[in-house]
Amino acid sequence: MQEVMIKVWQKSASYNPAKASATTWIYTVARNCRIDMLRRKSNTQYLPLENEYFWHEADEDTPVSLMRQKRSEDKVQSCLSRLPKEQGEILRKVYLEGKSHAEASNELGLPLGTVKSRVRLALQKMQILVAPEFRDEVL
Amino acid sequence: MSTVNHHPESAMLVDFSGGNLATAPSICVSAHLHFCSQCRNELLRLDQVGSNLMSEVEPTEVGDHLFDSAMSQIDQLPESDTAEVNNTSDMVDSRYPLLVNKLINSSESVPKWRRLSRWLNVAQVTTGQNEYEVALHKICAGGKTPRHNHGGQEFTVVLKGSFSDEHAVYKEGDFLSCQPGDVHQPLGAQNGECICLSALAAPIKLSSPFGFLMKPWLRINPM
Repeated sequence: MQEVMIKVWQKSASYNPAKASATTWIYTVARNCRIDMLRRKSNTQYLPLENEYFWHEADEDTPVSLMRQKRSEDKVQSCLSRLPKEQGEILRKVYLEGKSHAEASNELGLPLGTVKSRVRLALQKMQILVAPEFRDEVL
Repeated sequence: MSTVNHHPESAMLVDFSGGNLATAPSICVSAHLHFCSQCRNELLRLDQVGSNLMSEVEPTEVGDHLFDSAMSQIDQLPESDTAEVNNTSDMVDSRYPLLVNKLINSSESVPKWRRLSRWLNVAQVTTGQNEYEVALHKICAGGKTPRHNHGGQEFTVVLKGSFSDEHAVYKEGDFLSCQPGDVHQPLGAQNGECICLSALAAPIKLSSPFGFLMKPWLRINPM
């Protein structure tokens, strides 16, 4: 937690509210700290990279993008609490327990395909995944 | 609007957003994101899911000393460095993702092209993991690579130029995922060389009758 606080301080100049809400930005900082911590704990070789080089910011920085970002945030928030229990359970495993789809499938004793389809259904409800032809309308 | 046509499956983006994707596939997803605005926006929305779920977690009390200790460490922070790349290799290309150029310029071992066939060169990059061989592949203009069978997963991102196989044409930024048992024969486009970044989990098998003779050259070496 201390490390996350320090990173938030260190990176605060790069935070842009038009690209992501503060909580989403803090989530990404916390996630990256966790990845760094796991890499340090594992006995794998030295990674010649800073974890932050893996991540890209959303493109736009305009009032329209801010509005889209807010609309998408609201949609995610309102849908998340209404997801069927089994869909929410897998999303929590992925995001809060740090389990990949394969690990969640082993832990829940479900086929990998079932885990993937539950996540896909949840993301479609939140309009995170949409058919490519409609992507620009939703963005 | 993005011109990229082939994307990682949603499960990979979710695992990437959750921070649960292994290093080598993460490198390929990140390279794809450099070229693909659709997936960058999708990732932002996935991060919003993570942030909302994080907000649900019950707060935990921490001692005052933690705050004081964090503030004292902040006071001692050095000036942040910039993300510029100092080129040590002629493989670096300003159009490539920063991450890829950083890997090419790794001080551990600068990658070098190794000729696999008349049409195909490979240069392995150091990524500090032991599951996948991560490498750049260069297919010459109009080059034919051998038809092969995948023994494990392979993720490929086109960095420059294009190639095709029996299924599709892959252009700059396109993401190709091959699963164990998949068979294909990549062919370089006629109008220029094609450079790809790939992460390979198991050696490929050549489909030709004498393919087994090449086996010693097809071993993978994760590093």
